[in-house]
Formats: sequence, structure tokens, C-alpha cells
Amino acid sequence: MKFSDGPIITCSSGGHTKTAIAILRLSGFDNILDLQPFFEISLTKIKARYAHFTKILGIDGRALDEILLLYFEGPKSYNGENILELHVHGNPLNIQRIQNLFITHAGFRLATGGEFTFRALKNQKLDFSQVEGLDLLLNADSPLAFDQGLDLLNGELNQAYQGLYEHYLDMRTSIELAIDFSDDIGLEEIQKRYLGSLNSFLALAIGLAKKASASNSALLNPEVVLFGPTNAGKSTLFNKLFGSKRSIVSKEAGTTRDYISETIAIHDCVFRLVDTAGVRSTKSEIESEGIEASLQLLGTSFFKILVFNPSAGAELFQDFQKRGPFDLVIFTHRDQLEEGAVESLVGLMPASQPFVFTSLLEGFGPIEPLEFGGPIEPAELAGPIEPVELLGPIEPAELRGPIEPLISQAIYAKYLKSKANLPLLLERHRVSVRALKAYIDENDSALSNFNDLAILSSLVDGIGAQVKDLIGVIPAEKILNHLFSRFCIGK
Amino acid sequence: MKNEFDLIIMGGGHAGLEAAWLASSFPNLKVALISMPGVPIGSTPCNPAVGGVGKGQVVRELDALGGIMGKIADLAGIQYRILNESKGYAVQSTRVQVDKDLYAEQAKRLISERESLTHIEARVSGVELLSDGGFKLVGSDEEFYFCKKLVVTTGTFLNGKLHSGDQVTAGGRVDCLPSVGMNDLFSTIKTHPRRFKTGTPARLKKSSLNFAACEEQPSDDRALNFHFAHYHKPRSVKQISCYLTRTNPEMMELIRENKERSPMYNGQITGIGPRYCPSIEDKAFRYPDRNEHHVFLEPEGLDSESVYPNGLSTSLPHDVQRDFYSKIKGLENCEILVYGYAVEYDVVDTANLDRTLQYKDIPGLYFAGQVNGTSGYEEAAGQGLIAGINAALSFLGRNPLILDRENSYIGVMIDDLVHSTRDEPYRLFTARSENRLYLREDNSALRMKPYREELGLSEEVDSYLELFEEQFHLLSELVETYRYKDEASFSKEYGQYEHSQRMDEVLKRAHILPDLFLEKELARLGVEFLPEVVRCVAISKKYAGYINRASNEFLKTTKMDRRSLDWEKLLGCTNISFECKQRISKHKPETFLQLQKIEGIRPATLVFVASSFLA
Repeated sequence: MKFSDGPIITCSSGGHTKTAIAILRLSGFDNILDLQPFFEISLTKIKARYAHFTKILGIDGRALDEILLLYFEGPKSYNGENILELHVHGNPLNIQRIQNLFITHAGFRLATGGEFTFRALKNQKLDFSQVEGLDLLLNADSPLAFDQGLDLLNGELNQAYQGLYEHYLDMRTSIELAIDFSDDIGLEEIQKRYLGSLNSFLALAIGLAKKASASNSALLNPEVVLFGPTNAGKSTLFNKLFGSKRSIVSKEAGTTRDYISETIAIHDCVFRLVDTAGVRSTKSEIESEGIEASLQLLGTSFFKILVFNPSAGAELFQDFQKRGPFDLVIFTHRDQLEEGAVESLVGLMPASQPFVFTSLLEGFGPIEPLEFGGPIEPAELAGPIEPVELLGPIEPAELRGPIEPLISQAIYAKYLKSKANLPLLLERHRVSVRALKAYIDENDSALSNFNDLAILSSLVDGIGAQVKDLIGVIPAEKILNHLFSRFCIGK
Repeated sequence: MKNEFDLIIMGGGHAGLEAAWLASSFPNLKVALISMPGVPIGSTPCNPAVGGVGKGQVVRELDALGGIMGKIADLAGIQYRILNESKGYAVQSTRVQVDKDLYAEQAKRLISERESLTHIEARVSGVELLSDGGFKLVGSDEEFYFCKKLVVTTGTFLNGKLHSGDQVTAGGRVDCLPSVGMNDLFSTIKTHPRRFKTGTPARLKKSSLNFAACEEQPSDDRALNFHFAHYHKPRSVKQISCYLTRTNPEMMELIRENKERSPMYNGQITGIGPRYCPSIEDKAFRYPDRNEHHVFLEPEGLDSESVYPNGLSTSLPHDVQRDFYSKIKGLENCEILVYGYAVEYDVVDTANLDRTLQYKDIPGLYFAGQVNGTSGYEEAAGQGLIAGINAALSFLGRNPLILDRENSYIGVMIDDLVHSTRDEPYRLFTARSENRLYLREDNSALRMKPYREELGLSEEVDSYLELFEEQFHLLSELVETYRYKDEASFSKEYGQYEHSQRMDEVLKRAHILPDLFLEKELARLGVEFLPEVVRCVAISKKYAGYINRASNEFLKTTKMDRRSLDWEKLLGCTNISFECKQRISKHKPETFLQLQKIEGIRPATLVFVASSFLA
């Protein structure tokens, strides 16, 4: 993408439909006073970052609209340039008229997508990872992605990246101090500073590396997958869940795979609910081609539910179970179950497997779980868990009720837990952070060896290259600026 | 006509000297050096030292390019030091204290020996651009001087203003005539929007100082002389010591109490000073909790009564200077010969210069040295050399000489200068180079040889470079092919004997000092090489892996691998060594990646091709 310089205008909000207010932004003009002919208010009087109510004027001096005007004087603005923000009435006709005014008579052109932000990057108001955060935030499909976008833009993740950058600069600074100014500071003190920065850097890098190794793919566009043989009741469950949690967000079509999916909302999060292709109940066909797609989907999905009709038999159950681990196993047709079948099926599962027995009354009323085994705190499939028997007598009142709150609660609990670990979502960052970690591991002891400063500096440059990959370019001038802003040295 | 020249260099400082010296080394070129009356040529108005970290590399680069600075520094050198000796070979540098008067004297002598070079003492009050592209200089002696190419090296003199307390006088230096401003000379030159500032400490009377209270720093006789022809000769003059003392809380407090009287802090000085060269006021106000700073007492000459207290630059009023100097240990009874001052001056916006330091809008006009907003004699000299050579080449209608940042600190500096407008005086730091493991003092002959070859001159330095390179390749081959076949010949101090291990592999062992190792092994084998070549080969081998990595990083970032290449054209490049050309003509690489894959292609060649040939 190639952008040219010069003043640009864009409609940042509104413009496609009739809304009350639209926001137009003008950026990159030399002097705000040049724009005086277009405003009723005297532009010499306006105060930066204050809202001013005024009229916008056509070239004949006629008022075109009543607006709110905000001026951000560069470099203290979003992208470092002079920015004028106009809140105008949101009729697309009005927006177009005002845009045309500035384009025809004030030398502006329409901004291309991302151009404001590109200038922010160019003017070093945002670094590369922040731009990615913004992109993630603006295009997020899930609150998690949105949160991480915000986190990258200005939150903890941004701080961690900035921290890497700062500590790297500190390390380089210490080396430069040792090379050029050890007379002023003293080599021992410099070495201490260096090791301090190195250790802080390593701590941050290791923390980030954990985030980069935690699974992320399932979280970006979380999918809830219903898996199991045909006639197990998947479609019924699907319709129940979809019916109760239908999302206002609708996914774009485009998948032609062998399953149907809908978007559901649980609290603030949006999930894709997927009903996999039915799998016939004969063992020979379980590996058949038709199921490959659903198996693949199962591998990357966020929440896996195995739906199984106990009457299909223990042997088949075990075949399906191998495809796990599952976050939840739902045994359907509880009402048709023979005595002792519960125990025999439960015995086939790992002790930690959450499961529920239920009866699916197709099409009518709530789906009621008849029996509920194992604590529904999925996600954590390991660790000790109390056997069903020890749960003691189960109060029918608690047991009986619609099953979909139970399921959505389990899904959301897993979501909250995954979010708390906050894995890095952007693949580029994951790759960079892992490369950084690998580099650190490779040069472990050499990084604290102060014997040859040129070699050390060359190794630290290697770190710099990785950090640069993560957040953008680091010119030598930055290192020297860092040095002189902290030390009064030289003769 | 007597005042008609091919080239005029305006200014007799370190930039002017180097420019005049190099330009006049081209045969049949009529060169004039015009310097301020009453100001010695090649004077050292700030601290009397040449070299230093990064700067020592520049002096050796200059020397290998046929420059004059290293030669004069040796002739006037009274105390040598090896800086950063314990911190690794690549960051080591030589620094020499010079006898100020001797330096100027030797500079004048060498200049006068050049027949094609005329030295004129005159103030220039105006420059006219002639319709034929030449220049007419108007001297205050009412003479006119004409030239086709003009190199301006006026240092701090343009519109210079001196500050010492509330005394403000016109001039570029204490006790010197003032000069007009840049825009009086050239109305169209774009100057830097803000003036720059630099300062200097007072000069103290040697006999009034108590050196016994200070730490002595004797001259280091192991440091290699700067000039190649002096390498195996003793020092030119007697060696003396410098002394170290420190500032203290009482004295720093005194400065803090006088903040209102400091021109730097009361608004009298508006120019921007270099942060790396803070005045004692800077140290006092910016770092209120630090009171102990080093002060080096540097004699300005063998017989001179003047001592330069390095680290105490100031523009405070004279009475405050007197008071605070005498509060320092060893300086209790000091007599001040010249008071410290700050100077503000006009500088050119170097973003308007090209890589030959020619002003883009006025062909034939070059700027070099402190007038370009740099600091340091070495930086000035490096630019002077580039401007002088290129003015001469341009006059002769030849291709310009451009030093790459990958191969030299001079190249780093010029590249930095012409690609940016800076907000403080520019000093060369090793941090500015992307590959400081390669830009070392010991291999400067090797790095500069291709550039020197381009000039097509044949002086003493050219045969030296030839010899150096020849020996370097010979010895490199020896250490790469020699294998230890006999345990008896393997010294125990080298560690575990491994049968058939190569000499360069042993050399790289962590605990081995490569230069001493190689020296010893060659003595054992009874082979003789120039000691500086032995050292260069040893260090080059030791660092080879790191240098390759840094070069690769450079190449990776430029993503040039897939760029196509005209290998036949490469064979015509003077910057590529004969051996590399042989390999290129054998393998006929069509892309840059293929070139990299050829065994034995030197990193320098790759970097040259990547930066100059493909760009």
C-alpha cells in the first residue's frame, strides 16, 4: 500500500445510512487559518482540544450545516498531524456535500482506508504492534479479540512490548556507556545496570513466551461443536441452543463444509455453534471421508461436546470418545436407559470427564437433564475429581430444568478461564515472541558475558532485531537519545 | 592570473587541512587554502587530543586514504592511550594528546611542502557565484580570488558569538577576528533553523597546579602510532603524563548557586549544545544528586604553560569560574590563563548536501566540518577529506568517491549527515554503525584500500595498502589451512589437543587471546609478517562468525536476495577484490542470493553489492 502526503479528509463515523451525527476528520493541513473561509467561527479564537459550536459555510458564504468542531494541533494529535474533527449531521447527502467542499476548494482528497493510522505510524505516534492492535479491535469478532486489540493499543500487552523495548534500549545504553563513558560512570555500576535490564527483559520475554505457546486459534473465533453419531440428538440440541441464544451478530456466509452453523451469544461473547455431519452408527464408517471435515473442525474448536445415545452401545461410545477429549459429554435418551447402563458408561470415561444424562423430548418444552454427573467446570480435564457416587443424593429440583443454561454456563466458564490466561491472538506476534525466546535460550550465558563488548553488543542487537520485528524499527539515534536523556556524561 | 585556482578551500581547520591535502595530491590541480589571519592552521581550540573511541578508527581510515591527520598527530603526540583495552578488540581505540603548537607548526610545514597548494591568509567577506559556475571570493584584503570548486570549512566562525558570563563578543574563537554570517556569504544557503553551541573550559597555568594530589596517567608505549609509516618507529617527541582529579559537592553547589549568572541557564544562549559534551553547568543542574565527575588535566604541550581541564567546560562569569576551579583537588592555587566560554555559530542544514558533501542546489560548492553541525576534529577531518577529494574529482570530470556506511565510520557519518536534519551537534559514536565488529582500527587499511584504489594515485600509502592486503590474504590462507598434526607442537596452554584441527579453529577458542596466539605460532613456525597484519588477521578470524551474522542481518533487512544481478558488470567494479571477481566469473551468479552462496565471497563484497550496486 502506498500513500502520498498532503491533506486528507475522511468520514470516520456514519456516511452509509442516515444517522443523527457523522464525524468527518481532516488531517495534514499546514495551517488551520487557511480553512477560515469554510467556518463561521473565527479560527484564530479556537482552542485546541475544545469543542466549538459553529456553522460550516459554502464558498458563497451560505451556511451548509451546524456543526461541532474540534481541533487537534499536531504533533499532539492522533497521527501527529493537524487534525480537524467535524461533527456534522449524519445524512449521507450532507456528508458528501461537505467532503466535496473541502476536496474541491481546499485541496483535500479522500483518505484511503487506514491512511490516518498509516500517518500515525509514520510519525511514530503508534508503533507497528499498536496498529495491529487497532486493526484487531476494529475488526474483532469476539470480545476477547476486541479486548486484546485494546490491550495492544494501550493496555498491558502494549506495556509488555514497550517494556521489552525499554529494557532492550537500557541494555544497549549500558553497553554504549561502557564503551564510550565508563570514565564517567564506572564499569562496575554499568555492568550492574546492564544485568538488571537483562533480567527484567528476560522476565518479560518469558512471560510473553507463555502467552505465545498457549493455544489461541480456538479463541479468536470460538466454536462450539456438537459431535456424535447420527440420531444421537445433536440437531435437537442445536436448535434448542440456537433458539435460546440467537446472536444479533450474523456471520458472513462462505463455508461450504459438511456441517451447519449458527452464531449464538452467551453474555458478551459470540460463539459459532456447529452441528457436525452426522456419523453413522457402524464402526466401519467412522473413518469415512464424510466425517473428516467434522473431525478437523473438532480439533480446532473451542468447546467440544460429545452427544451420545447410550443405546448405541459401549463399543461405539469408546470409538467416539477417542476423538476427545471433550469439554462435555451429553448422554441423551435418559428415559430409555436400562438399569445399570449409567454406571457402565461412566466407568468408560476418565474420572475428570464432565458429563450429563438427559432426555431429549424432541420439539417440545425444555430439555431436562435427568442426572448430572461431575462438576460442570470443563476446560480443566485433568486433576482430581469426585466420582459421581460421591456427589451424594442429587436434589431433583436442581437437576430438573432446561439443559441449555447448563451448557452455556459451561461454555462461558471455559471462555472466562481461557481469557484469564490471555494467549496472544495474532499469529505474527506469536511467531516473533517464540523466536525471541528461542534466541534468548540459544545465547543464554553469552548475554551476560561482559568480556567483549562488541560481541555482547552484537548479541544484544540480535535481541533488538526480534523486538524490532515485534514493534517496528529502532534507529541508532533512539539508543543515543535514551542514553543522553538518562546520563550527563562526556567532557 | 595569480588569484585564479581550480579549487579553493576556505578555512584552515582540520576539515580544511584534509581537504587541501587530498585535493592537492591530484597532479596538475591548482589548489588554494584560505585561512583566517592570526589563526594557526590546524589549531586545536578545544581539547588538545586526536582520536578516541570511534574517532581513532576515523583517524586510521583517513591515514589509509592518504590523509594528513594521523601523520601530524604522531609528529606532535605527547601522550598515547589505548581506550577500552579490556572491553574487546572491536571497541578499542587510540587517543593521543598533542602538543598544540607543534601540531599547528607541523601542519603548516607539511602544507608548505606541497607545490600545487597555495596558502593564503585572508578574511573572506563575500562569495559571488559566477555565470560560468565558478566562484569569486572577496577578501578583506581587497583582493579577489577565483575558483571553479569551493570547499567551505569555516568551523564555528560564521556569525560566531562568544559568551563568558554576561560578556558577549563577536568571533568564532577567543582572541580571533569575527567572521560574517552564512547568509552574508551565501544568501541562498539553507542554514539549520537553530544555531549550534559549543563550549570550552578555562586554561590553567601548569606551574600553579598540584599534580601530586592527582592520579597520574602516563603515556602507553604499546599504542600503535597513527600514521602507517610511523608504525615501527619510536614516538616523534618526548612523552609526558596527564592527570586525573574529580569534582566535589562543595564546588558543584557553588555552580548551582550561580544558576542565574549562567548564560546557558538564564536564556542568554539560545543555541543547542551537544548532550554528550555537557558543560559543568549541565552536569550540575541536570544531575543534582551527582557531585563527583572526572576531570582530566591535559597539558597543551611539552613546553606550554597551558593545561586543559577536560570535563569542566563552562560559560559562567569569570569570578565564578575562578572560585569553582580553585575548589577542586590539585587546583587549589590554580591560575587561569584563558577563561572558559561558549560559542554560538551558524550551521548548514546538511540534508541539502549530497554524499560528496556538495550543496545540491549549487554544484561546485562543498561544505565540510563543524560548519555542518558536527563536533570533533576527526569528524571535521573525515568530511574535509571527502569534500576535498570529490571537489577535485568533480573538477577533473571523474566519478565521485563515496564511502559506504558498511565499510567505514566516515561513510556512517556522511550517510547520517546527508539523510537527516539533526537537533544537536553530531558526534560519531560506534553505536551509529550497524557493524562495529567490522569497523575496527586494525583493519582500516583493508577497508580503505578499494576506495584509495579508485583515486588512481600512487603514493607511499598505496604501496603500503597493497602490501598489507597481500600479506593479509596470505596469512589468512595459512591459518585456514594449517592443521595441527603433531601433539608435540601444540602448546598445552591452548587447551585440549585435537588431531588435525585447523589453526583458525584453535584461535577462536574462548580463552585464547587471538593476537598473542597468532604471534606466538608464527614465531614457532619461523614465518614473518607485518605485526599489524598478524593482529588484523587474528582479530578478523576471531570475529568472522559475528561479522557474517551482522552482515546477514543487514542483507536480510534489505531483502535483496531475489534481486537480479549483472555479473559481468560486477567484474568492472573497482570495489571488488580480484579473488572475488575470479569466483564471480567462475560461478556467473544471476541473483544476489546466488552471489551470497558462492564460497569465499567476502562479506565486504556482498555489502558493497547490496548497498551500491543493487541500490
